Amino acid sequence: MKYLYFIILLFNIPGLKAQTVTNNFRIVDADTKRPIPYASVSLPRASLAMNTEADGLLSIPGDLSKMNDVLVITAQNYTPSVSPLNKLSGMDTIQLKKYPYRPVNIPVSSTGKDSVLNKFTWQDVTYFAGVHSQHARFEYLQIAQQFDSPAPGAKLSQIFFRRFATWGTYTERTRFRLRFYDIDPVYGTPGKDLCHEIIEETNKDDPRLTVNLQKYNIIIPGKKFFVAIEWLRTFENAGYAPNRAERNLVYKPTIGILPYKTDKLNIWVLNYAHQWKPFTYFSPYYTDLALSATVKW
Amino acid sequence: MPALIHKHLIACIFALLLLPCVSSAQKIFEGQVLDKETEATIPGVTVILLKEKKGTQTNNRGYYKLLSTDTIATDTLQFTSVGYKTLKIAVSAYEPNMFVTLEVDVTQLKGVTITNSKKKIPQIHYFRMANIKTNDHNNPTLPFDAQYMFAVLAKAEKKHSRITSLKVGRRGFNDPNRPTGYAQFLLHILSVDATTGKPGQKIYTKQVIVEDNSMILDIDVSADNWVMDTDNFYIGVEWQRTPINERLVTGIDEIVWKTTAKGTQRLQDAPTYRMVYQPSLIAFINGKKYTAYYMNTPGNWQRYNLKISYMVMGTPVPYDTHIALSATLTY
Repeated sequence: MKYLYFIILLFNIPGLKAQTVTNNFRIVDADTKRPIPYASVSLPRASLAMNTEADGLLSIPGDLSKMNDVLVITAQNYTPSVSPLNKLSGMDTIQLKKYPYRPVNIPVSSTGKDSVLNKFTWQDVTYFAGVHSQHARFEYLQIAQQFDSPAPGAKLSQIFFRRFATWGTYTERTRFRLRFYDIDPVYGTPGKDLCHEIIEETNKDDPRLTVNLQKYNIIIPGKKFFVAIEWLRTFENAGYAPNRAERNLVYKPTIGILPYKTDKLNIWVLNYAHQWKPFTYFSPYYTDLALSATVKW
Repeated sequence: MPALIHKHLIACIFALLLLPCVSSAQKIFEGQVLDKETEATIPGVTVILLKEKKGTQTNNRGYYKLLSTDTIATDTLQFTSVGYKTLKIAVSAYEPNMFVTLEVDVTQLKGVTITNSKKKIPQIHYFRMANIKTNDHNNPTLPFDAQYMFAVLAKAEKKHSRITSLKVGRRGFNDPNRPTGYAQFLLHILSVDATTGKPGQKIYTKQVIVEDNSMILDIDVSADNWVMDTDNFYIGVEWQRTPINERLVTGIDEIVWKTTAKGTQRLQDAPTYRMVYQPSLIAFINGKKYTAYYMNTPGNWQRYNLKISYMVMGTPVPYDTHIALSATLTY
């Protein structure tokens, strides 16, 4: 049995230095009681986040009753769980409720046209998001590009993005997930998932990645949608910025930023409290990810 | 059997005839156009892909960028400018970010009186296009890691010189032949600290903004009236540590360790990322005396002393290097 430790907690939460207790949790589906693999776990106040492994196990050292933070657990197709740490004392299971997926019920546009949205020349991409800098720490779970679809009912057929990698470099091996969102009608942020299937991609060292999405039948209900990269915050996927230290862990892949300015910021990031925020790091200069989407409509 | 061979031969000949019409993928042609003799950059040069019929003009740094969407393998890049001989280069001979030099066309200059064309212009730490192309130092982020400042001691022949231009050579961080676009930095003229001999107070400052992939940056400061009271001063580059000026580079691979209930396990090598700042300067071999400093932590000037070793008769021989940073003066 594998237990994943929040070892960094040792250095961040007061009163833990002399801890002797380890609190072990299994994150499971509320109905089936089966583990949820690679659930995203974060502590917003401590600025810590990671993914569980396939067995859904999580270990937190220390006396939970003395901790002030909240534990946010999210997984695709499940309602997020937000629990004060001090309320978890004595528990060994955290259950997530599956939310019912309702496919988009609108006529599919069928003019026979293809459009590439946010098209770019990959050689022009020189900026990347995904690592800490002297100006800001990069503490996000997902990064998304907003698109304007040519018509409601378009089908997403392919995405292409640029990342920081050098061919032949073993260390750029990565595994990540793709998420697709409708727009939240109230806040204008990424909203409901447009695809209930878990789309996980692996790659060794390609700086430009193309993912064919034909088989997932992703229909965009309105004229705005989002494509997001979800980092799998596992040890296999980790790197360091700027130097080797637990608090400097970052996760692959880095995502390119287009060196062009449009009239609207189209990049969104999901923080550890599971809130979508505009990504303003390169504002007011750069507004889009190096991520294009092909739609059939 | 001979009929079959004949058939294949015809097919091969037909394929060969078609070859010039076959297009390859999208390609970017970019670089700088220089005067062959003076190595000054030439603005306004017309650059055309003759067969694809696509063209552009060089900007004020002599830089051009031409995006060929359907490159024809047998196409030719043509460079034309008034006063220069037209130059043609086969696209198959194009090299990334190459320098193109144009020769003055004397037949076009009839009626123009040229006097004293060989007049010596005082240049301090002069470097040539060849020094940039040689690319002697293959680690783009060393020796200063592009963090705070670099400064080189300049010795004018006499006092009260006027600095008219400064020239900087730059390269890419990840691809030495392709500087990565936007760069903003400060050029300084600094005094010589009377006690330490290191760079002292900033006397003049100019901000430079580059929005293309030029490798030679010729910065005209003639209108800024930079007159020096002393014959010794420093020329400095200061990196501006802003998000838009950052570039990501990977460092030494490290090992990721994982702590589990079973203990600590070594997993795999992992990249180490860090930010450096535009521009990436160029070190080239030059044996002349050279006094320069770099600052990688605020306020701490360190002596620049980069040596590059080459194998000579099986033995590594270290050579002193200079940084491609020069000044042009008038007296």
